[in-house]
Amino acid sequence: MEILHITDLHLDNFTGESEFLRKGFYKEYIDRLYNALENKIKPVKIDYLIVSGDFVNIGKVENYSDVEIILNYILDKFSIDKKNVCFTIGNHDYKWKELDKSDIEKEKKLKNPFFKFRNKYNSTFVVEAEHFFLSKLDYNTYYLSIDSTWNSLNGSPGQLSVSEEDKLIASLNDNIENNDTLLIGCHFPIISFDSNFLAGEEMDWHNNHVWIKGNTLRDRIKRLNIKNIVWFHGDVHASDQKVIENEIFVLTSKFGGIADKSEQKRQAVLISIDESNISKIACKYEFPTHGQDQRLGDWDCSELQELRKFKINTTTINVNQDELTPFNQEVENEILRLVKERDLYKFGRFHVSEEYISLGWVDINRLMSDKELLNRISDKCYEFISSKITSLPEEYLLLGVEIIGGVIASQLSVRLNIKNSIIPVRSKSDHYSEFEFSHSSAFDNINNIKDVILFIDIISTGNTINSLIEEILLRNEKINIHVISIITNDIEKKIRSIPKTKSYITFCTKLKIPIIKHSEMPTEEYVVPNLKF
Amino acid sequence: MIRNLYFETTNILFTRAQALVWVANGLSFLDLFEKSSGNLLSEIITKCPEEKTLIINFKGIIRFDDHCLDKVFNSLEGNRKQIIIINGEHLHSEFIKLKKEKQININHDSVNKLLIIGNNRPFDIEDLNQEREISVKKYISNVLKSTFSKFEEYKRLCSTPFLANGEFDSKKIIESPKDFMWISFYMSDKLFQLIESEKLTDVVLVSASLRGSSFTSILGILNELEYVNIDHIGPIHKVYDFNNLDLKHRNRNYVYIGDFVFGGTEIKLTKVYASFAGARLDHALVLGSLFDSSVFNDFKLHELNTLREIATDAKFKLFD
Repeated sequence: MEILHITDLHLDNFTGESEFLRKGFYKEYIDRLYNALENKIKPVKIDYLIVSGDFVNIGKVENYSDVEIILNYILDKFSIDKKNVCFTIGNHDYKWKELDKSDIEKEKKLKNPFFKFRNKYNSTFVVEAEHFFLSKLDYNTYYLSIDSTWNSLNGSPGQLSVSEEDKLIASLNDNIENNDTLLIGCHFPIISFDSNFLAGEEMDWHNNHVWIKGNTLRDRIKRLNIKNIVWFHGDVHASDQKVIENEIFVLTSKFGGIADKSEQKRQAVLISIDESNISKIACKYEFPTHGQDQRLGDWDCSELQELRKFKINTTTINVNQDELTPFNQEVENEILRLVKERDLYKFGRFHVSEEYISLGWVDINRLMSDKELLNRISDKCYEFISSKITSLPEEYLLLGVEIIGGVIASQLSVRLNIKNSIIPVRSKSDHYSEFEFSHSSAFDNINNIKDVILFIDIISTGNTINSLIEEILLRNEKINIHVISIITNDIEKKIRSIPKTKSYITFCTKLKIPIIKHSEMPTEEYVVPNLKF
Repeated sequence: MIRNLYFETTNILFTRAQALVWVANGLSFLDLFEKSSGNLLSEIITKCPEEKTLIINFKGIIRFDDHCLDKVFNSLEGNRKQIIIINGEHLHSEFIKLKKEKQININHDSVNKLLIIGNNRPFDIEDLNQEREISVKKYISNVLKSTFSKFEEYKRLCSTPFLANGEFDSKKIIESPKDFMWISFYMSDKLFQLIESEKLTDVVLVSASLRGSSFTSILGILNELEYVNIDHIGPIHKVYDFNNLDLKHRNRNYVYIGDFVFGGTEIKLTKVYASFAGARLDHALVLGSLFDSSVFNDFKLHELNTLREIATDAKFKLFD
């Protein structure tokens, strides 16, 4: 199934000169998009078109007839059937400025022009309510359009009441099976994306552009355990994506509008869903010049990029195995995506011990500032540890190494009611008291501890974790040690098991962190260190 | 485990719905009260004597899962137990819906913004609240006091110009599941008050120490705020990466989260970094401070307690 996603056409003046979707140019603009896609996939065969709102600009509902001309041309060009067009309403698609207070009846009247326009396309709904509709696209694919502007003021995200949410969830429960795919059009993003670069430039940006009040709805939909849930968002005029378990969030930048001085690129996205994975091609309208110009530019499409695989590799324990595999494939994918997209990998000279220099540095603190990732890793750690617990909580100890290990250990310790402690490993640098390790009350009862679970952010050479294990065993040689790392260095001779441990899992095995000896590097006079402990 | 989840005083037991969610279901869906959290609540109701009132703070909960209150209502049947829900008015209709056909009273006191479930005996909410607040303050004070360990002789405190006869170590709080959880909720409420009273928008929490990062991360999760943990800013900080405070945070309001403050050097340095990134850092929330907050001019210090008050035998002097 191939889906073309566009959003934010913002048609203002069809017969004018300044818009990309102007009368004299829209055909060429769409033809060029088709050609660019054809360069990547042949034949270009699109099953569904999803447009997630802002068809017209600032409530100019009289422009819907012109939008029809543009959309019909897209349907012709891409051979898409009219009934396979999926719309959702945006805040520009009705005259919200005429609402000076919350007034549902008036809001519905103001939205009528949109509904009339929408019904000229797909009007075969399985369920239709004022704030959503559900269509069946094929035997196991549904499209849910949610009005994220419902019951809003000032053009900002709205709010569904409990009963309105209940109705929507009941409709999904009644119609959708676990093995189905649910596509959701929702104008305002229901989660925060990383590329919210406008946040610093507009007061109260998050409240105006993220549908925070839709969070519980998202959560309820997620818990229906549908195989695939793909959210299609617009509004933000930025491009991004997120994959969280069975949910994919596709944020696409605007398709129309005028040439301006912003960095925001025009965009169209192709989402491809088959039996085993979901992939994406992102097409951007690029200019040969620094600025934008409505007379210049052409579409450039990326290669097909895999977003999600359905066969998930879970709970692989890497003790004495030939292959080092991540504990959870989807978490690994998310780590790699965040490292790449947030530019969290630095190359340089990082002094990590008296003997070794690391040439790579992952900014693990910023990586783990992503709350969703942190919570997912904590939840997976909980699963793993729960499977190990066979006796009283007093017989276990969670040890967090440095900041990230400490954060995870402390949060899990509440859930498991197991004592924890934080272990700094850079004590030679005078950051910590010399008594740090020995003064921990967590060690008071060390002779009665049976299992220690060690959390560490990155294992690069294995030296740190090995010396820590030796220290613990010196205090009680009978202790079973389990190691959980966020990232394990993808070196040629992979660290598949850690000596003297009972079990070892890691969440990411695909990042290389080159380590070399000081003696093999030019002196600091020539290559200045980036970081020295 | 269940004993960690509530406090008991002469007339009341009290707990917090999000504490039950954290223990039962983790931190991923803190706004959702689901069945396993309801089961923990029902265990607490069972422990609660009939003559005491169980107060539950539902702050942060906005959704109920189907059947999450089945056992809760079961444990209220056939007895005279009384539950008072605070910060949960918005859940009134959900409580009624989930009660189903059970014969249990659910009353709404709109003046005091309470829900009263079960026994409808009269109570003075101001008295009960006062009893609760005294108990919480005493607990917080005792926890902070317990972090002080005396040395055999005066020693220089790491990274400070002070000689002391002992040290406050917040690791003792972090190491205890119960203390870490309740101090986190208490700090979370303080942070919420700070943000409201100072009218801060676009807040990002920041820590610059190993211990501070555990508090910052959990406060970020409990309050749905962004957070940044910076590796070791302090008098001996080795500056390596100015980009610790992200440029995407330009114009944002950083709030520093830390454990114990002496001279405030870490906060001042973090403030400088924030200004490099085009952001502001005007407020710090910490467990305790050696000095009164009024001595800090570069930022406003908000503390759970002053160290001199909680450990009267702690002595400090400047290192010569």
